[in-house]
Amino acid sequence: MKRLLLIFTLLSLVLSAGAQRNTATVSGYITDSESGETLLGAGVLVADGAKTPTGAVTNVYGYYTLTIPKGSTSLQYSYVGYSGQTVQLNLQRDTTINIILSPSASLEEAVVVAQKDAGIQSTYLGAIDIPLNQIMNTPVVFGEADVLKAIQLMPGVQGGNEGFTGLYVRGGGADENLILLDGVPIYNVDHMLGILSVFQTEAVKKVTLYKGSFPARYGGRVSSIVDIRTNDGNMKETHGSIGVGVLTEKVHLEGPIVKDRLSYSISGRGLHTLLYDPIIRAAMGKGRYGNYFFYDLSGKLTWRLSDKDRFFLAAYSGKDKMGIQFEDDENSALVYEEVDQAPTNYFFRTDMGIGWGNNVASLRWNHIFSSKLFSNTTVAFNQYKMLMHMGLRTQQNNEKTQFDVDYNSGIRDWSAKMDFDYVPTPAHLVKFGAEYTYHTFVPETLTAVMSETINDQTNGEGLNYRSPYESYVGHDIALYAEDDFSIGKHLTVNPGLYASLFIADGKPYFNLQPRLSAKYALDNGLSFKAGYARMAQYVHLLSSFSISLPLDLWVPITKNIKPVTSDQVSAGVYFDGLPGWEFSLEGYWKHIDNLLEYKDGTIVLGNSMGWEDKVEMGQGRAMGLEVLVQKTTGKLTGWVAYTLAKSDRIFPDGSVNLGRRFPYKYDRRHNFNINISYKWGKHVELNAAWIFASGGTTTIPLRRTVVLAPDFIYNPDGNGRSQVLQAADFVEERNNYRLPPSHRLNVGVNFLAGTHWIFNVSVYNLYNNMNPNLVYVDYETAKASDGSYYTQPVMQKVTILPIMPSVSITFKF
Amino acid sequence: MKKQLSIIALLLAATGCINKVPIDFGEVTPQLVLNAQLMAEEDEQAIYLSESTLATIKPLQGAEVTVLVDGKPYATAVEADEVEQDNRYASAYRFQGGFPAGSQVKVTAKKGSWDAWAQAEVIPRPVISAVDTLRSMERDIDYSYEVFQVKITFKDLPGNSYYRAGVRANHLITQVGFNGEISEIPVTSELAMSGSKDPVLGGATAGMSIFNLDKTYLAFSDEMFRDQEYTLRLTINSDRLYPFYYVMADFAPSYFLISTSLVPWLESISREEFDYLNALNNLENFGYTAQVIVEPTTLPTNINGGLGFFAVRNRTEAASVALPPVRIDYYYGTEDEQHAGQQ
Repeated sequence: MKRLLLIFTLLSLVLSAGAQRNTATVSGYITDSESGETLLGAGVLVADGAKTPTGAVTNVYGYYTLTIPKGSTSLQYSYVGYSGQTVQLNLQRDTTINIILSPSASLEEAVVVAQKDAGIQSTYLGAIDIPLNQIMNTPVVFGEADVLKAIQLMPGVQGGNEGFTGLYVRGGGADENLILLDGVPIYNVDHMLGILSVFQTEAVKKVTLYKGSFPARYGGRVSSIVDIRTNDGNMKETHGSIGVGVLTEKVHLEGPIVKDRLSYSISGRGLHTLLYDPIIRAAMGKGRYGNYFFYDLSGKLTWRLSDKDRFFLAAYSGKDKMGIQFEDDENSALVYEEVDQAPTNYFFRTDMGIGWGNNVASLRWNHIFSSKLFSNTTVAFNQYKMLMHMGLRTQQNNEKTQFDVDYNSGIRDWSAKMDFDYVPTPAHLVKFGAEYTYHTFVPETLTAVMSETINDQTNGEGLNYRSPYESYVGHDIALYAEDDFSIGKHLTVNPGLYASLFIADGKPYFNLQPRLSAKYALDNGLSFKAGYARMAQYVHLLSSFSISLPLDLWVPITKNIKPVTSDQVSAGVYFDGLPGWEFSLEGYWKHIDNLLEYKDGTIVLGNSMGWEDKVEMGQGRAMGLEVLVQKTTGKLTGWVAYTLAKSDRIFPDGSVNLGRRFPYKYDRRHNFNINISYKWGKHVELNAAWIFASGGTTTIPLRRTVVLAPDFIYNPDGNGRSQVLQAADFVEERNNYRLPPSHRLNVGVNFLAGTHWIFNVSVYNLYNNMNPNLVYVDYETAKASDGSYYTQPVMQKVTILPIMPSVSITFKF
Repeated sequence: MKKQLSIIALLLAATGCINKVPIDFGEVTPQLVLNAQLMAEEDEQAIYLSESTLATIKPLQGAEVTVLVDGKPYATAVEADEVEQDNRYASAYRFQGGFPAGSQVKVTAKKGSWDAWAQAEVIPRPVISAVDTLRSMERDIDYSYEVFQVKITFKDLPGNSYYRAGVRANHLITQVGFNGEISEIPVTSELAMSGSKDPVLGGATAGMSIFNLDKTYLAFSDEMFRDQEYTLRLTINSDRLYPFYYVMADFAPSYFLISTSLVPWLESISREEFDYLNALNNLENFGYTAQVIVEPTTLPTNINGGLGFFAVRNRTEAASVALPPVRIDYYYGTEDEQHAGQQ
């Protein structure tokens, strides 16, 4: 590994030394003229009619670097939604040019650049920049714009449960997505059991989805990477917004502390029930309480120390909490009168609560070593916790009983990371870096305490139980390097390597994860791509329920549970020769090893605490074809996405489905999404999204059978042996039944009043299709033609999200 | 915890609309279900037949049931006169017999268009080389109880092997009346064993604790001790040892004297039966019908032309271990009535 890196570095130095004599480097930041925000993915193109188009894009920190031949040249700077700029210069040495672009009302496309980090122009397959305006305008449940809901409309991505935020990408599970908030992984991304995600769109600057040939700088999950970058804060003026909707209240504020030097950005969001909690308590009366709420709070400080150094301090805290309390002291008279006893003082109180959430903090430092070398250093803390509590208090005269049960689960990370962007020659963009994460996992701990007192004196020994404290420590070390380079006019290749070492439970796991993607682009806008990626994952989410529950457990690999690995090959054909349009057709095949699945007959919270005993490792495979047609400019924008896909699983040891292959729960053959926005004049925006998905799978018993249990009951007469016969549902195969398809139409209208007010009216599931959120088998009594009665199984579905209108109002200042 | 999970599920259901999804089951024709767990040693054997439909299960009467050993007719099972109590789902067909190790035992069941069969090889009996017992006292909150530990040592059979172990308790319950009447009632019980982990790793205990996983049928593989000698540790708590109820003689008891001997045993089973018993464990834990919050249990079946499961076990019993008799005083009615011998 070391040898490979050394060779790679030496090669780069040789290449750069040779090129340096005749070339010079232009570098700098591209920012917004009004806010000072860096523009991520903005393009710079050498517009001098060179035979070989040369260009660059800004990285995720808004910095670009471009090495071109010395002499007179013309550089075109552009970004979607902004007026472009052209700079003429006589380049003789390395030069820093910081560009400020102004927002434009024009709806036309930015200048096409030679390279991009995502999209058709990039070398990567399955890499998509999610347009921010689409995130804001996609009509969703309760009218709450949501990052993950917009991603679900992309080809190859399924939402799992209808209307919820789960991401199931190319046959992978919900825990196989690395969701990064400014480079820091977020473990639990859901509020309200998955109806909303934790990301506040007001603070989001850029969202990129990778699901095919992954850049080598990413690792840790096997199915997708969602890279979310947030605003740094307006460096010039104070701005903000206040929004009130059906569900939440939101506030966002950003502005300079020192103009052009130090800025802040703060966002907050909460469910209405959070603010009105005191009213709810008062309304429910003494001894009764029930409420659920969540909140998100995020903040960022950006400090531009110098032209070469920038610091970012960011924090996020979000929590969901549900509480129920019931108190009663009125029944004693009734109870004791019945047995002719004098009424006694009787008190009873029970309270239950569940809380879960993330706390994240990070410190980042961008440093420009030279025009060719840029670095980002990140130190971060990341914690997810869940706590369930149940308490019981009773008192009868002088006898008191107290019982408390607490269940905890969580994960805590400390991490440090360094990333470098290096441009040794015009044809090469090298990224390399290293990362270390110290994980502490606490999958589950249970404590139960009970005590009894009589006349304030302890009675008996009580109960004081604590489950064996099982916390796991994991050391996660990674090195990576990749080079995006051009060969001739048409071919771009991106080879990379991500090497990871994970030490857990005293055992090291080492994985070399090669990445390779290549693009061959013709002059007419037609291009072909192919790629391969190997990924490894060292954490799992044990989830037995079909919706995101706080009871889901994040667990690490151990001595017995190996890392999940995936190998994916993909290929596609793309066309962007028609201005404002992009067409892509992409196919993939993926194999996943060491997948975890609950064994037959287990749940997350059974009677056992040992999660390793409840799961088994197996294999999965997924294949599919994805079509994406996007219109990116003009009054009408949006996309149409279609996916034909298949995925299944097999657990050879026999503890799941008797070792036989079975379809994955979210094996939905066809997925079709249309998402469009139309600007009708200056004051009205119309948005609509139609989503269709073939039914997933579920397990239903197809008949009844009898099971014969080995003898274990006593035999009163002492003769022979008794055996027990019991009727049971006969399940022959897991996921043996395919549910009907689900579909819905969501519509929304934004009314823009001046520059400050936005009124939104939207309807989720306009034609009220009863799509299932939960499906289970029940039994009902039916009458036969001969008048006799029999029981038959029926499938019940619970629809939590029928037609849902919503309104919201936002004030921007 | 299950309560809180159920509350969440209930809340979801309460906040949502519940509708039926039409299920296309196709044509679900009745099917024969054959269940039998025969013992290799000479004994009264039973084969159970049922008729299964989409939603019902009922005894199948009037079938022809034959048993073949190594391809040759061995016995014809005779249907019991009536559907036995506790066996309302199946009709019992009985025969007397035993099977040597290595033989192929086949059962067939025919009625009308149904023609089902199943076959199993009789695995050699495991050899128990030693049995050790240990008595100790344990304390739980405000009472004490005896704990008996039974250790069964045996040599693994060649190849991939699977086993099942347990302890049978033979009780002789002597009922003593106030006037010196005596009645002796023999009671046999197979102790339900369970363990929090694989029994090979953590042993097993008779009875269940709220914090332990139920592995009632105690099937295990030789993966951890292949081709070696192994000692399995079974724990029996006295509070779960004695029968909860038994038939009393027709005189008022003053006290009972329970004499117990423990018979540890070990069976060799097939891989198929190992999977079947694990599936049974799951059904026992969470009920025999499909549930929302439980991963489905795929039920193995090895019946050709039908459903159900067929197995032949070979059991080795160790020498019994006699426990000290236990006296249980019996109180019912007033003290005078007790002395008068009335209820």
